[in-house]
Amino acid sequence: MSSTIVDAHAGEHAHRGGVGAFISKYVFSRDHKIIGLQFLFSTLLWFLVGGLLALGIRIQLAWPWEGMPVIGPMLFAGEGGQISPEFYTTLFTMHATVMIFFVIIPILAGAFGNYLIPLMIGADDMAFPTLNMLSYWFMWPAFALIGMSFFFPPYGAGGGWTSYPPLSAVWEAAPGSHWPQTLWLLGVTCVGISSMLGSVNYMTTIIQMRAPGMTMFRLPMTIWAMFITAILQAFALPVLTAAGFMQLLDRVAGTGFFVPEGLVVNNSIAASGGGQPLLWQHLFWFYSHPAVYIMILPAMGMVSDIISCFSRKPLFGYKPMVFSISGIAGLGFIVWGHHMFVSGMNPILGMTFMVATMMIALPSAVKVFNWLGTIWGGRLYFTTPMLFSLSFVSMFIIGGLSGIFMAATPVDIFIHDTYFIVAHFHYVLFTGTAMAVFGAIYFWFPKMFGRMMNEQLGKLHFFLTFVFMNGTFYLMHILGARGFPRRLADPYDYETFSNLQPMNQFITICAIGMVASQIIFAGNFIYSMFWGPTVGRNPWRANGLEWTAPSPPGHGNFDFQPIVYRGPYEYGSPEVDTDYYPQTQPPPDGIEPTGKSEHTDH
Amino acid sequence: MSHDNVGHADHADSGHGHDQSHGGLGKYLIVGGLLAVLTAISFAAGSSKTIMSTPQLGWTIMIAVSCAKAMLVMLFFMHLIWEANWKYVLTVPASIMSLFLMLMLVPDVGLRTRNYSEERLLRAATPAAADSNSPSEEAEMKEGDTPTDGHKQH
Amino acid sequence: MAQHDSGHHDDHGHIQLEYQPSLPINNGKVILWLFLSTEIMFFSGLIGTYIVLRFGSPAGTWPGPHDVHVVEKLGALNTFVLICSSLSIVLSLEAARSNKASLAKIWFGLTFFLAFVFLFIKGIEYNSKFDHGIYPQKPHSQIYEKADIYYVSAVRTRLNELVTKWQTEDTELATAPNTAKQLEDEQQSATARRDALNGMSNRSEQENDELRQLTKRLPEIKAALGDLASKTKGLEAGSADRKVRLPIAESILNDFARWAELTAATASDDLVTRHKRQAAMEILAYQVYPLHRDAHAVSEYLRAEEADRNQEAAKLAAERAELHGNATAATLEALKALDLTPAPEPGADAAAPPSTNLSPEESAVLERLAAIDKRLAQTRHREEALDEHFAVRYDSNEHTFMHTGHDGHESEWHGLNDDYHWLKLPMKIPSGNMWASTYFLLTGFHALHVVVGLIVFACIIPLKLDATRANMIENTGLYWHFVDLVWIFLFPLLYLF
Repeated sequence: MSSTIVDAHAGEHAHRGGVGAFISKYVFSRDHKIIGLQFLFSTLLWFLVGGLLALGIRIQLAWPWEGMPVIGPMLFAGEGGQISPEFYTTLFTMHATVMIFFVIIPILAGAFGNYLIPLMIGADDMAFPTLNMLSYWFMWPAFALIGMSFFFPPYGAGGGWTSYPPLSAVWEAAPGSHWPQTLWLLGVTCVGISSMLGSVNYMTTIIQMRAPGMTMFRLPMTIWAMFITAILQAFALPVLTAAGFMQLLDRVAGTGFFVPEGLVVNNSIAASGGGQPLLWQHLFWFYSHPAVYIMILPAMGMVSDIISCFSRKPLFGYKPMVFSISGIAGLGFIVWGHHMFVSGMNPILGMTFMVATMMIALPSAVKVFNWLGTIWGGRLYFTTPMLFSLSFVSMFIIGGLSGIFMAATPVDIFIHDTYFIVAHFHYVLFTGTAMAVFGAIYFWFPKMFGRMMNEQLGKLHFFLTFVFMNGTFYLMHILGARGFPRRLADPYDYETFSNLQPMNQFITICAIGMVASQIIFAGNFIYSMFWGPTVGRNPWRANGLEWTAPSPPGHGNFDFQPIVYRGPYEYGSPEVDTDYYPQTQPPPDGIEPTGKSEHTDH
Repeated sequence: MSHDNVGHADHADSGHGHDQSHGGLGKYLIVGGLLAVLTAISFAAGSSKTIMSTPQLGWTIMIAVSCAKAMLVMLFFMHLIWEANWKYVLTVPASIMSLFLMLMLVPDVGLRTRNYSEERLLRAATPAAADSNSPSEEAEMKEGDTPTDGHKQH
Repeated sequence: MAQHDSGHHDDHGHIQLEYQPSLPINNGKVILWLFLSTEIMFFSGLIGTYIVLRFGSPAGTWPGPHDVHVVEKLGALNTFVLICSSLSIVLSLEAARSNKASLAKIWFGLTFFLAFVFLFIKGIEYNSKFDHGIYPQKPHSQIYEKADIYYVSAVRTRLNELVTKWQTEDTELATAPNTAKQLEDEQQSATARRDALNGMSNRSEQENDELRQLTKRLPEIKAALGDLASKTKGLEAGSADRKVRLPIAESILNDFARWAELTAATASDDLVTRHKRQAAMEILAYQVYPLHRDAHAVSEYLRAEEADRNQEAAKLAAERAELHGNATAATLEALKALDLTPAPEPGADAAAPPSTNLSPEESAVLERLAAIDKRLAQTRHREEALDEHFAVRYDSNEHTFMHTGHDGHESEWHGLNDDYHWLKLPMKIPSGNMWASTYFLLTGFHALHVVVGLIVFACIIPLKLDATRANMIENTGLYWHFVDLVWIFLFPLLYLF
């Protein structure tokens, strides 16, 4: 093995010295690992911003008009720190935008996708490293544009993250609709370009650059999930980009794709019009519903890997898992209309979309049962990543079940735009995806930095987050069932909701606790990055290819040619004495890899 | 961007190293000629008063011609006819999905005028200047528009 | 195998790994095809939008090619140009594969040239739309969905704007010498005063202030004079145009548009009036920007109105005749009455005027006569007004504004906006705004792809196009064929449907 040669080369590279070398190595790097870490750090910073925005929403809902700490005195000193209703719309719009476009999607596809895909398939880098670098640097115009929207009156886009026209399509219409909304659209377009560049690159890499013997059905679930996610992004995202351009033209050029005839704003005809507001909703959800799966599938993949590793058992039902991910993705394309049941959509479409949506429960259930089957009878190690993964599975069940309520048109008509919806998607996205992401960070941190994160602090972080997040989000179901509306700065204006304020105060306190618990995580992360105990190549005794590379992997990832002899889940195999059986370990009797004959076009 | 792949490219390419034997000047010129002829056909159909008197017929002809042209370009110019089966994986899903997207837009957007409110019809485009010969006829015809004008009065 | 590979190091300083690709094509081609799939979705979003908006527009409103200055022949020509460029790039690839670098370069250069031709023709087409104001604008485009009161008031606003602007300019030009004179006077006196102040050996505080102000004021005056001179020059240059245009704009504003507006504002709500109101607005719209499909209706309107006018004139004539008859009868009666009461003895009281001592019968007769005269005058006045009213519409100030739909010169006549290109009046083109939006969206994004192609071509063309570059040409070609494919669908959808 030639690890010494590689390390020497890497050292030489780094020591060539100077600012230029630093920039080319860590800033404009074409190395997938550096790009992955760049994505990770940027998204974690935005995670903080998004979380603080969420606290703003919660404080307003718990103690409306009583003055917002920090932001209030800064922006609304004149009103005694009391935010305006328009600013509340900005808060929830930007919270959603930041969390979806700057945190969840880039942390899954950008950070973990970039870091793990070449490592897990045995490649030295992405197929097109420069393109990969561009996909990260296209995030920066997006960061800048959406960040800038905070500085133009009325301080942040306020059209909701769905940016529904006609209000968002007309310059003069809604609060937050002047420059901020335009900047918002431009920013989302940049995110779109970034994701598109990333996804075609991931697909090419996974299709063309697997190590010998690594057939499609020997890929770890993480890679399968990333692959399907990339397909979703590649096919769904261009439609949003097209729609975004159209809305942008509506705003700045006077076209009328989404503006109806004779729209009157402030007593004057707002635009030439002739279009249809529902068109935006269709195009938007054509992307944004698959985007919901973009936000969960990679998490599912990573959780599968973690659960199998810490149950010391093969993943139960590998192929059904692959097919159910594909099924979820396929169905994900034909269910977008369930976001539009009360939009005035044609009832025939509503019926179609309702049935298709219900069908998604099937592959989702298959996945849940397979995770349970993997745990069943396993020798469980309750490490921090495992705890987060188990939490993912259980919380995903709650989030998934509440989704079925919404899929049914008659029920949805009642709960639409209430906190029930908010509860549902936070159960899927926070208690689901975010927990999986935490788990994945704890799991792959040793690979990324060559050091372990602190287990005790990790468990503390897990338990506090788990308790507070359920305190925060579970009660929202009850609020929603009572009809408590979302996106309203002061719902207590309505007599019927005024008795819900104590519950909202409890939720807010839990939310503050939840955000505060992340300080433990941040501390643990930063401390461990520099002072955590160093580890070898395979601290978790896992099977995947990434664990055979050095920690952290040098330039080019592998110091030997990986050849794959089996799938990634051979834990407790009778063929070997250890309870794990790395993919690259040749079988005892020395049979040649059979990969090429088995391989199928994906 | 692709110099990293030179190494992979040569063995990946070996599968279709015999590409040169396909095509050939003659074949491409024939395809090009066919494309020009098909363009002329759709142009003729579009400008023919007889065909466009039933526009559906004209539209069908033109879309059929366009599909034929698209097939010619994809099969010969883009070499799909000589490629392996991956061509279906890359082209068919996108085509199905795009058709599906358009189809799903029809009930809400394509048929939107069926559900227009009076308020919207008031501002919506009108087909042609109201056409009538005598005030009595036009009176009848205008009856249908009464809400339109009625609104203006209020 | 591992040993074999671990010996190899590429220039990155790590071992060259071996892979097991699924597809027998190079990575560049894989990613390009994947990219083209995303492009298919992008354009299906755009084209799908066009299709549903077009076929969902209120029935029968979508503008035909000639309503919006679309020339099918140019579209067909562009299709042909793109097909030729597709052919030439595929021939370039063929030549490169057989290592004929110079031949490949010729074909590649031809593709590059044809892409420019495409954009040039596109530019011509865009220009014709922009010239006529057919493009989306904020806050409202010049295109209106229907001829309603909003449309009429938009026309009036535009005409007012023109007239006011030119009148102001004329006034400014007329007063410019005066203003200049004033400024010069001020300059002279200020200079004199400043020199005087400068000459004083000991100035008071007040005088110091004055001097400071004068020193500040003098350059301002100079600048103002310069501004005025250049402005006057500009105004003078435009005055010839204004002399021609102002009367035309004024007469449209005060006669024809006013007629339409007044007719449209008629208060009565019976069906016939309502119809006339609509007719007036449609006629105005037709005169500004004639749509072929409206021609018949407009000529019917005009014919009906002509008939109305003739009927009205006949009615007035009949009334006049009747009044004349009445008057004659009344006069005869009066004469008879007067005849009946002559003095019994002739010559006795001949000098006494009959008016001084009219009998009640006589004065009644005279009153009736006067009333008849008055009504006669009114009738004449109404007849004159009727004539004038029509004269205003048809022919005022020697400019003919009114064209009937089917009167022969329709083919070379394209409306007021075309006759007077500077008018730029709002146009009635039903669904025209959606047409313009979708047309520029689709062709714009397609043209953007052509431009990207041009940039890629420009990067490749300096290279030696031999067999080693075949993959590069192939991938560029795939992209270019896709651009051609999109146009293959756009051409019939936008030009022929």
